[in-house]
Amino acid sequence: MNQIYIGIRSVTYAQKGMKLLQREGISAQLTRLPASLSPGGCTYALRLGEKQLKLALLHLQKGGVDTGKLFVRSGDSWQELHR
Amino acid sequence: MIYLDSAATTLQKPPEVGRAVAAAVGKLANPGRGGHAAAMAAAEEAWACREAAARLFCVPEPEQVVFTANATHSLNLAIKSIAAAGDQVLISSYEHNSVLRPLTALGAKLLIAQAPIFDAAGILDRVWEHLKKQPRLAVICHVSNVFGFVLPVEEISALCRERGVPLIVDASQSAGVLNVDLRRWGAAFVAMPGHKSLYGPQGTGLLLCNHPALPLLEGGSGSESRLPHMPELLPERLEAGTLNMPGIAGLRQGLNFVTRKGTDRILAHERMLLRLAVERLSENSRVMLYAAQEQEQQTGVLSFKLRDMDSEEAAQRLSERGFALRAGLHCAPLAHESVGTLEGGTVRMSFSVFNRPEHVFRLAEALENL
Repeated sequence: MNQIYIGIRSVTYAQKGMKLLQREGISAQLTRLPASLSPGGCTYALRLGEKQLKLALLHLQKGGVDTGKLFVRSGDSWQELHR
Repeated sequence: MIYLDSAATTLQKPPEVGRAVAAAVGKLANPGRGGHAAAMAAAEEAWACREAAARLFCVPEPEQVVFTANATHSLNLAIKSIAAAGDQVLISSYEHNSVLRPLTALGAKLLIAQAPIFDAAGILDRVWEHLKKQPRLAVICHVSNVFGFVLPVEEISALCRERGVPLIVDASQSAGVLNVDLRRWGAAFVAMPGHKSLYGPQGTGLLLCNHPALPLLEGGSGSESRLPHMPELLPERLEAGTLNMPGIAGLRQGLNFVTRKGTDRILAHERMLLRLAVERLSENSRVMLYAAQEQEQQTGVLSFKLRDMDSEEAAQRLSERGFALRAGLHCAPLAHESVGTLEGGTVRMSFSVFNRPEHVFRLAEALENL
């Protein structure tokens, strides 16, 4: 299954998002985006399975966690996912 | 040593605080600065501490809890986020220099709500009078660090909300002892140290934020590094540079300790010691006590003078006998001026949850023989 990366602007909000998703039963890991995909520099991301993306975005929005760009990773290749 | 200077800093901490500090050194790296395990562990610890503080102080979201070096740092951040040169700012006559000095440096015009000690109604009347002048800001201490006087912050916050005047509460002497409730007060900011009644290490403080804030320091924030300015979002906006992770790890344990014990129980214990101290010291005709008639008016902080001995001399002699108390003006000249103790200051005893009645009895005995 492909992994989805949701870009988040700060480590604090990334943690907030991760805890929020965990409470909703969605497993997400905190990680960093590759530098080439990080326009602002030093971006954190929540990594989760593709099937959980839609619900995850809903919960994050409701919880006040602004999300940045979305990326799908398949092996070593990255592609931006447009909403 | 019998330590009675917890209003300056609590010396005895719950054992888990020291253990957490020691464990953090060598384990917690720089949060928000990398994706490796040690950086993530640090980020997790920082978040957990914010959550603990948010729960205890009724802060809507953990990211509204900002780490600072101490309450002075917190107060400078808060004051300078709102006040500007020439602004009218309302303060009480019991404020600490960590309020008075930044306002003086800013060139603020002070409206001082003056009232006799333990006269909460008097303070409230004066606050109301000054609020009619629509000051830019109100900064009020919850408890006087010199006299333990509990100011009516609940009522003051309501008046400030009514007049649309932002309120900063200095909770240096109340966090961990009285209920501190950012949400109920509707305060713009609440400032506190981590190292007094929250039993955390020195070098820690918190600022609870409910108002747009301006950075006091600019520097690395760990994210959005291409931005030439500090990020807009809290808490990173106000946390330039590396956080004090051993301190934060210890503070988290202190917060958990206070939460487990409950501020009601802690306050009851300190007021019990205060009552004992007032009873015993009242028997000594040399001692002039500054104590409230009603216990709700005072926390576990008690100032006194000896009629026939300089305050600093008295504290020094007590120190030689193994008692740690603080004498002088306690960085609060306004408070001493309010009460008439500016010349010579007072000797202050202040309790923690680790003090026992025996400490009070031994101090009373030492004062009789001083």
